[in-house]
Amino acid sequence: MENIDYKELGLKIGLEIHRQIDTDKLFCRCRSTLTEDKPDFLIERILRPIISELGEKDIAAEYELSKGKFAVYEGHYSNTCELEIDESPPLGINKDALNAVLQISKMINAHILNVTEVMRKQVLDYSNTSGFQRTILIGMDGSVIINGDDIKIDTIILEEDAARKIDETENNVRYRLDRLGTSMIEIATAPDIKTPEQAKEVAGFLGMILKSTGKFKSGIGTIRQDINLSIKNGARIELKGVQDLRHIPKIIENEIERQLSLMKQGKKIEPGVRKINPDLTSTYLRPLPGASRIYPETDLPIILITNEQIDKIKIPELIKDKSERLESEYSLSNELANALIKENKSDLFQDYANKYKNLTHGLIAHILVEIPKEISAKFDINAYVDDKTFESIIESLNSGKISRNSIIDIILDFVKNKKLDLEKYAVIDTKDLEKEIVSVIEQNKGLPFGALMGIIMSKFKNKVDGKTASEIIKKYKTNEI
Amino acid sequence: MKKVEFGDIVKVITTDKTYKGAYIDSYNKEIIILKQDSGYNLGIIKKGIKSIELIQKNKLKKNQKKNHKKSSLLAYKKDLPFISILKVGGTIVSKVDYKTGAVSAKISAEELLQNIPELKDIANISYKDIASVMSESMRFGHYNLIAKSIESELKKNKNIKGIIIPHGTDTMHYTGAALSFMLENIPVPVILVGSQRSSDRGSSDSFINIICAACFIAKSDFKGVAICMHENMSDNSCLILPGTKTKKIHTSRRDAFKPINTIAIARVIYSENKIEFLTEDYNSDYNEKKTFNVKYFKDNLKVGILKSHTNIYPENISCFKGYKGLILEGTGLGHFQSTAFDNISRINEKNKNEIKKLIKKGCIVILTSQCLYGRVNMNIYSPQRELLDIGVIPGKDMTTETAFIKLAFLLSNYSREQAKSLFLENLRSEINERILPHEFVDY
Repeated sequence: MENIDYKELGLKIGLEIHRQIDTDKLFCRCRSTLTEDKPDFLIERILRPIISELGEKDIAAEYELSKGKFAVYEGHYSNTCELEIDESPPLGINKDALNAVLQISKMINAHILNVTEVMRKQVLDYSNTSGFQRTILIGMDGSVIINGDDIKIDTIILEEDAARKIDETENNVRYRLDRLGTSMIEIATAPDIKTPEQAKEVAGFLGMILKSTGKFKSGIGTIRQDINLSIKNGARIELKGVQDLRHIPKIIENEIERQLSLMKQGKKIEPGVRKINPDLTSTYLRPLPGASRIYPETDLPIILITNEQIDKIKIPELIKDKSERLESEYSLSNELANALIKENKSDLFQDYANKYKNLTHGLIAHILVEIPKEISAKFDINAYVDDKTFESIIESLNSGKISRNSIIDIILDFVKNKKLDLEKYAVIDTKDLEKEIVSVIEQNKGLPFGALMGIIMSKFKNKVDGKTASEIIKKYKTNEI
Repeated sequence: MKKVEFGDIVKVITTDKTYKGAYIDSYNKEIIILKQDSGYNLGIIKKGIKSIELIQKNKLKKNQKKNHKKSSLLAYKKDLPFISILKVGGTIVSKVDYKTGAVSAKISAEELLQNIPELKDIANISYKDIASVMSESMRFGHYNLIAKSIESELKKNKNIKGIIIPHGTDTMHYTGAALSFMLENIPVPVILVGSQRSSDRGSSDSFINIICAACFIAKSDFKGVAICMHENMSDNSCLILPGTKTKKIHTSRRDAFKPINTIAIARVIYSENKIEFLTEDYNSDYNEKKTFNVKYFKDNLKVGILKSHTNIYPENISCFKGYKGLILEGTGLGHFQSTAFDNISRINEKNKNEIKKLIKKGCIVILTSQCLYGRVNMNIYSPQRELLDIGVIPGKDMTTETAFIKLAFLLSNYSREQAKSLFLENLRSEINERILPHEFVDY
């Protein structure tokens, strides 16, 4: 599709990025953990479309009902209370989740609402036991600049994640309630994105912003991206469930191709929501939802966000900026800088780099992020090292108490025995070492340099630095001659 | 500020932003709410508003009118029985109120039926809005209103198979007891139906509760007053619970209503459209030879309930001076803080004196138990016998609520002496002389 002129095509793309917040659930005090255990209880339910505030039944809602199903819900006491089974009203909003979304709103220069209301978005596919998802508009009209292009962010929303679908048969659909109610952010861009490649860049950039706060979950299932797109003479399509942002350009290209091919055949293109298939094509799911699908959550009061509260929110350094800064300020490679950020060790690194001046920055970063990884890979062991242990090792190395050569052994010893023993690896004092070397030379008169070196290095293993040992041997060998 | 009304599309300019949306009132006087095209509501603090500009008049209202056409539910079907729905109020007929921001009993019976098209295949439905009251606000006058409406419905249509009363759940068991006593020898089922989730949400239990009530009326020969609610947390079945022996024992669950010291009358299996009677003598209160007769409550009658607790003072009791009846909800088998055991508890003697004074002035004092299950027995301990001696009457195995309603009903219709003796008689299956082992919690 390289030759396509997207401008000519009238391509408009908007993205919706959903990401779970790393807190307890939004409206109850359950932990947001997933479980594969046998359910503690099962509940069967039926959902019905209702007349909305506007006096019309929602088309999307009715469509789902027409499938005539009932749901079986699997519940676990460890992460599901009365709220997830729609048997009690919501508790107050999770403040940590709200703060995470306020922080993001501020980072993308959005207008934060001083007054907002929790809404119910009718969802009748049974993924919500109540028949709706609780959702709150927090910020609007933000923007980010990506490679010189201004991308507008229409809305920033705080909402509940849905239950996990486990199975579906003709008559019923089975959901697990562990994920239901998990706090989640939704960032929706305006249809400002002009090319498939740019859509990927925007998704990546927004993902990087979220990650910079350290307040969002990562990994499979914690991120979901939807693509809204339209072309001239085509129709508005919502593509649901992008798993990997590298797929975004291909998914968009496939949809453009589908619409162009329908146009060629003279067929009408139906607007709607489509599900992305594993091969990155898509399948029709349901009609586009209307505004009558959203009405107020009557069980919760209005949310007030004061300007003082907004002013207090601190903006963290973006990962992108941090990585650039680590590279230039500490002369780190791009790889090491990113590894420090990824392993959440960049603050620790900066602290040590400023404290322990005898060591190169590269060496400190290497110890913090690469050595544990090497050990994990080589010895098939979880080489987790706590901050305190890291500092003891780096401090000893800085003061010359231990040798650089012994770091791997020290850490391996630590992760195996859960105990840090630096004495065992302490470098021998140069005077003591000289005495020892002299005695070795005397006992092994006539042996060549290399053999002597071998004996000494194996005797003192990591306690001596090879360079120092060789200098001493050379000194006494010369004397001998 | 320009006069704008609910639903008007407006532009609001504040010191830092311009908003557009449909204007909605808020219960908070300091803010206004705008509904966005996306459906989301946002609020604006009035203090910061510089101007409000009207863009388009009230779109919402028009839509509402357009969609609230008469339903086709009234079309008569020859083979189906007649069921009359008399709407009283409660969560079952509730939706959001923009004035208060909370749920109120606003849905019309018609709207409710539009949401439950299945009903037209079960019965010919007639409906009437007789009140829009949440049940925690109900008074004896409401019982009279309901009973009168039932009486006139039965008079109007001799073929009525039964009556459904959408009702708030908080005091539905009080109403159940009240109607049981008021509707003497009623020849049809009168089923109170509530819901714990309001009808404006897809997961509301109201739909299934009403369908099950209608199904029960259509298929059974039960005569009397009962309550129809979910059997458990799933949407599979409802229970038909006895009007005088049921209690709401959970604040929010669908299956909040449980039979007390008895079992449910019947189960309605929703998916199979089937009823199963759980007891055989469900019509024991009905006498073919007698006629249907309605007795009413005295609107201004004063009867009270006092819950026993530790550290009671005489003033807790003396405030019921002038009451015609008082239910003491005692502890355990039937105790009240009325005996001194040591210096610390000496004041309890004064409590006993206050009870004595009330009885002397003509107040009927009944003792029930705050244990939900079991029977009051006042012959076990000597302090209880002292209470019997001063004229306190044991409430047997009746719930406090049923004892309260029964006492008020009797005092409304009989002399004090008659009321005292009738109280101990079983009038509407409110007393169970043979409590069986399985008639307890989830035995």
